Amino acid sequence: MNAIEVRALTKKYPGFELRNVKFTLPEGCIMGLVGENGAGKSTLIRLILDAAGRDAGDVRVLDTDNRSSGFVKIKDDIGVVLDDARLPDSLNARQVGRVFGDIYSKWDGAVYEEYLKRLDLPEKKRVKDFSRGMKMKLALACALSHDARLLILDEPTGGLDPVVRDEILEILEDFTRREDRSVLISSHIVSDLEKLCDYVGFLHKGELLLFDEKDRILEEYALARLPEERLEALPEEAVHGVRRGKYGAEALVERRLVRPDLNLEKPTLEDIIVFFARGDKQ
Amino acid sequence: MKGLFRKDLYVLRGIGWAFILMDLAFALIPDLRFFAFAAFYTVMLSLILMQADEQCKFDTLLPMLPVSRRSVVLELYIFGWVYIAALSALALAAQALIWSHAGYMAVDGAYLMMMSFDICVALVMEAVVLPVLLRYGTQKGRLILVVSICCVTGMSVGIMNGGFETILTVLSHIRAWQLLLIGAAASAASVPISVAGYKKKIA
Repeated sequence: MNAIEVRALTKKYPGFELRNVKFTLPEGCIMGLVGENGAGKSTLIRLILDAAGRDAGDVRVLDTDNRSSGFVKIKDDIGVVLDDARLPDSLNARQVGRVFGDIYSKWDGAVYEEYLKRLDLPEKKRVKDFSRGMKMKLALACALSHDARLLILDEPTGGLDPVVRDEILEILEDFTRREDRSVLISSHIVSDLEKLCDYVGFLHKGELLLFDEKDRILEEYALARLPEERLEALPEEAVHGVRRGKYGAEALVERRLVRPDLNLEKPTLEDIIVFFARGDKQ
Repeated sequence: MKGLFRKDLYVLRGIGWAFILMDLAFALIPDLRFFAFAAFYTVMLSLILMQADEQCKFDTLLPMLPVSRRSVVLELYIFGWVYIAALSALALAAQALIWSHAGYMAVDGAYLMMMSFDICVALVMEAVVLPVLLRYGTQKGRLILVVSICCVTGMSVGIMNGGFETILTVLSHIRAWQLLLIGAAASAASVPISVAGYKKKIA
């Protein structure tokens, strides 16, 4: 079974268009969605959860069409964490737990309490008095306390200090220990995703430029460092981006399309994303 | 829907307590003209609750939770109905208390008639305002709320300045249950419009 299937998804806003997005996230996998501000990550997440109308395309989540009447029940199996947490901020953590306990049929109050303790969150302090990190941790506690099969997180680590980020990533790793649990996480911080994800999607100006297994992406692409005058010798279809410097050029190339004797280095995921985003072909 | 109901109770307890206190005072003053204010301000409740959700952006998380669009809308209506029912019960209880202490019975046919009229106007106001709030949000929807409150307040001032008897004469041709039925019909007609408007807003 697939956790998420997106087919030819299109959404137009004045001045922005999410174009023909397609990908499949198999059950039990973690997908990282990378993209700069305004690339369409949050729009895509809203469309996946049927919290926004679409112009074209289909979305299936946990084997259910997200526009069918049965999707409301499926949302019981989905945990959602949005940037800013977006929880009712005049409530305290205990009250938030009671509210979500009435919303989710499989809510487990004991698990929630456990998360509050583990994440060091005060029960009686109002959410509006929480720091950003505390709010995100509370949102995560809510998303993890109803035995969700799919977790969808939109920028959960953005603007957080490294300690809180690490804490959140640790919890996500724990969550995916069970094989039937899947995660879709969007973030700017590629290094976080590199640690965590099985699949990576790169969204750029409303287009999904890259989607594949992370390991395959890292194997498929390579960095070629060479003098600028030798760039032209590279086959055009092999080159996905070029960075020119004082001491030569750096090109992101597809390994299988270049000569094997070329001096290639293994890129990081961040290198690949940056080259794709700049798209500075020779 | 139970979760949303609970959330709204907490929100009111947290930020709307001053409003509730004022409304309770209006309901408990043994004068129907004050009950009219209490009933009409019920419509303000929806604004307070929706504003609180918009402020913390909970309204954008809500469509992602396992709650149907219809439940989101219906909860606001039901909250208003329960609130106005509670206010009415409190106003009647206050009258009963006065009767037991002061020895005179203020609740008669005319009293119940006037109370039903106030409830009817409050329900109609809610039926007009909620679809706008749910379709356009509180920023734009507030305008229509202000206009409707001004209309009803003006009407109430007119009643206070001698129009009370005229209203009673007009109402003498209608029964209390008919007034409540008109209010209920307005609510029933308004719910699907609100659901459609809310769905459009989400899309």
